[in-house]
Amino acid sequence: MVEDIEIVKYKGFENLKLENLSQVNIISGENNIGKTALLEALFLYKNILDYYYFFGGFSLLDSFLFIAQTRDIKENRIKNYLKNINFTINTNKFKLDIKYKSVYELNDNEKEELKTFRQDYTDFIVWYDIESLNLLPIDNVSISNRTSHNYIDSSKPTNQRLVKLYSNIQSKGIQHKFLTYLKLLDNDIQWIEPQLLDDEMLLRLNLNNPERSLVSSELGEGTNRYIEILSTLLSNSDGAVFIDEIENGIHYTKLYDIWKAILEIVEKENIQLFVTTHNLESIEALNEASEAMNFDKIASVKLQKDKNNTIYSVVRNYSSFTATVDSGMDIR
Amino acid sequence: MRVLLVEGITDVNLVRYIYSQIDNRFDFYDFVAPRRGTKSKVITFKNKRYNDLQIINLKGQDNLLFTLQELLKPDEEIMEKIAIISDADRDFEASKEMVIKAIEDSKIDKSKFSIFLTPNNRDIGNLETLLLSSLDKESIPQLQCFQEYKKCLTKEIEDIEKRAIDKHEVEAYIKFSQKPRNRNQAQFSFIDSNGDTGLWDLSKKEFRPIIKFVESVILY
Repeated sequence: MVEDIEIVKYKGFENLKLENLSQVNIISGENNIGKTALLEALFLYKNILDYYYFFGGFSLLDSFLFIAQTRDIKENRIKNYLKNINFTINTNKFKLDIKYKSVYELNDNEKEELKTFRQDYTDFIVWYDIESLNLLPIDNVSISNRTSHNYIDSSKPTNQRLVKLYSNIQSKGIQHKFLTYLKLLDNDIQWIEPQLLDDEMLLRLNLNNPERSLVSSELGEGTNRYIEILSTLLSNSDGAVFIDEIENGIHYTKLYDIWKAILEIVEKENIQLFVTTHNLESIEALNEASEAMNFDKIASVKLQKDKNNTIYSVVRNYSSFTATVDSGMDIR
Repeated sequence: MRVLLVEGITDVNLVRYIYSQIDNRFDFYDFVAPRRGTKSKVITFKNKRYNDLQIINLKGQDNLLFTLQELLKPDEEIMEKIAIISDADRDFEASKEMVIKAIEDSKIDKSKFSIFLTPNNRDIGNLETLLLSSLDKESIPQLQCFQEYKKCLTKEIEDIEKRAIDKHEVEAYIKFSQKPRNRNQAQFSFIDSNGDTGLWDLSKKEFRPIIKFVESVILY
């Protein structure tokens, strides 16, 4: 679990320190302060760690390309986007130093490493972890519709993404469990299954009152969002999940039930969760759900700017989080 | 962020009233409590128009340290001023010491704080002492009657607390004022649905110290 982390020079962060993170971490702050950037940095850190130490998840380059895609960076701009990379992430377990370099900027060690490549590359992401130097050529990178198994961006999910996520649920054989959680959002949902329709894979849902059969994209954004959240959580046992703007599309009256479901899943499946929000109702719903579930492994992270416009974080532990929300004080 | 911490709901409403009277940027009803705040230990009244001014009802002095540590300490960086209005009670110095101890224990930068002890930051007493001292008792019939009643109470009942009698006297004043309907609690006696009740005259010299203090919170 990530508890303490220091992010240096990532996007708008000069030196952002987060201490005492918990199992569920809710990130807030005003527009454009860097909530999504923080989520990305945590995602990069966690995925790289998992990729190299547990042989799962995304590689570093895959993670960057996925983030670029969520930011709507087009194919012709991707290389320039990668050329801006130059940051460090520190925790008490691991240090990542990641930087773009052209072939002319490589130092002697890096040039030595370059000799192991069979092709002539000109641009690289160079990164160091505690033990080793890594050179990643970025000459021929392509975004090509990447999806992440553990990062949910703020946009409405595509049919293809939902089918892919739901197939993880099928592989684990937990469709009924998934359905039970899904019915918390809408008790009229009777069944859900993938369908090949006109050469496209879709998710089809059967509903009651009146009896209907609809593909997920015909349903509201909230249902699609909740399917995405549920299937992502349920297929990431013992891992980490990142959700940008958790409340998107979800009606505020459902937030309490959805948070209860989320807390139950993260507890049972041992997931560390990071979510961003700018919605007070979502924070209040989390607070109420945590009290109802007796779940106290929550930290709130507020990003704000000091007098010099430097972004810093205010991390509240559960007791401070719940006292502040209960009192009506604004923690967004 | 500027925060005023006060002991009870009457103090909250007095502060709201003072702001609405001394500065036309503020309206009594701009300070709002959360919809679901009743079960919580303390309640924050945010200002709808000026995000950086809040009044916190501590619901008793015992919640001061809790509020400083759990609510304000994490946000210390953005706290420009933290003003505390508390009762002097029967021992001015001891009450002040208690507030100072809570400030020290909270580990928040002391320079951000200012303290005011009711009634006037000098004498013993409390909010009711202040409210009553602003009234011209000779010209208020119900308060003249009350003086006889007070003598009787103190004679017949042992160890009666002065504060209890003061609260009772404030209630008597409000209850039997010109518009007594549904108004017998001090906390709701400043502004009602018809606007200013006219029960409290902020131009009285007794209010000057607290007005000056409340005003200082919003001054740069």
